[in-house]
Amino acid sequence: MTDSSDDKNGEGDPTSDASGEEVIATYKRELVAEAELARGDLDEIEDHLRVLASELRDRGMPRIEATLEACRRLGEPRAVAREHARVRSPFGARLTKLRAYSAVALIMPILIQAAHGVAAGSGLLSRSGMELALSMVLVVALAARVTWARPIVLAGMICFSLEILLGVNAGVAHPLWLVPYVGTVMFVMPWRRSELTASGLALALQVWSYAGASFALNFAITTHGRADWRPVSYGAVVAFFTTVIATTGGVLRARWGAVAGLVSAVALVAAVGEFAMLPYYFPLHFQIPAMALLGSGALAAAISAMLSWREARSLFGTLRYVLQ
Amino acid sequence: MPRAVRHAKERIAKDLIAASATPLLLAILHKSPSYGYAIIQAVRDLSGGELEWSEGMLYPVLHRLEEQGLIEAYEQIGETGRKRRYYRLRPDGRKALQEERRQWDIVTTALAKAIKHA
Repeated sequence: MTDSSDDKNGEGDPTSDASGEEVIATYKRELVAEAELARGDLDEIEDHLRVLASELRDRGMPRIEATLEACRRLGEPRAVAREHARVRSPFGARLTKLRAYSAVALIMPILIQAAHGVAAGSGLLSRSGMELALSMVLVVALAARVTWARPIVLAGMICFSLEILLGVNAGVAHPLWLVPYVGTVMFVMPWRRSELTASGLALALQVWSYAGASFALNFAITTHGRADWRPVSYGAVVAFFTTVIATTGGVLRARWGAVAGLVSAVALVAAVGEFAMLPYYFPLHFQIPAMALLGSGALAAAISAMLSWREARSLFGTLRYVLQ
Repeated sequence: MPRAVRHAKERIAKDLIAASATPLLLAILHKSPSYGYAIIQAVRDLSGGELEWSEGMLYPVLHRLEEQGLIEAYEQIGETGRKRRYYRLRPDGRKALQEERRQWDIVTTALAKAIKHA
């Protein structure tokens, strides 16, 4: 088990040494290809491989075979990496730098547009202001590759893509507006199984309900031309703020986040009711998707609340996941 | 002999291995701090070679216990001169071990009685 055993079974054979090192390097490369592991975790696995290979050599196995056997016993690298990622990344596998930065590059025009809206007169205390603040937080989180940013950006971008599609359908939006949204979805999409954990899914669903609430609020404002919060009023306003609170609670893995999520589900159901009772006439091609967005938002909030409750670490949560 | 029975005689069921992983790890670390490879060896010795853990899956379990605050990791230079990550029990881990012991006592007592009367 000591380094002296390196001298046996392949001792003095530089080819054998190099092959053993190459086997370990290949194993590590395959681990990293599946999920980005922390340096310390990789070193720990490498240490295990070396100690095991060394022991096998002590038993008379040639160096290269000992290293291969050590790798075999440690397990299929992709499966090992997936298990590590599941534990180490509470909200899902961390994005590679290329994917994270590409997503940031695509979000930047959206952020600039929101900033332009704020500068044009809506001010910071408006829907545009809130969206600007949220997108700035998300851009920073995505650039820092913290794991909670991915499900939030994923669901947010899918929802806003649908909202733009609705606008395209109604003739008030251009199809090209979809490019940054759909492009970002492509980069943050969990393409492989288990890339999103239950906590990550809870966050994604909470953001889905945020999109519903945001749509209802936007609709209320644009219908009246001013923010008097009617007729899709109370439900939309409560849902809008509670979904933000619930998402924050989800990142902190706090039980109060689940409670806020439940409140947002109820508020969205109320918003659906308010929307259905509107005295105005809306064409069906607008009404049906709008109701679907609100209704699915309510359902998403309810499921998210259940998942958040199950995945919560404590009543008040913890800050340890914020930077992970 | 049916295949399932033959299989069961050859190896401990995966579910049983998974269920016993946490108490075993906590008990091993209760004796003294240790590192991954040594823990695998300890499990093998304690079970007379009957319990074969998937070595790569040990670390995610250790990291999960670390996340739960039951154990903590620290680095120390190993006998090979390389830095090595060791694990030791935390106070919450000691409490969890007591609770695991209580629960396993209930299970093994009930099982022993059930098998005796079977």
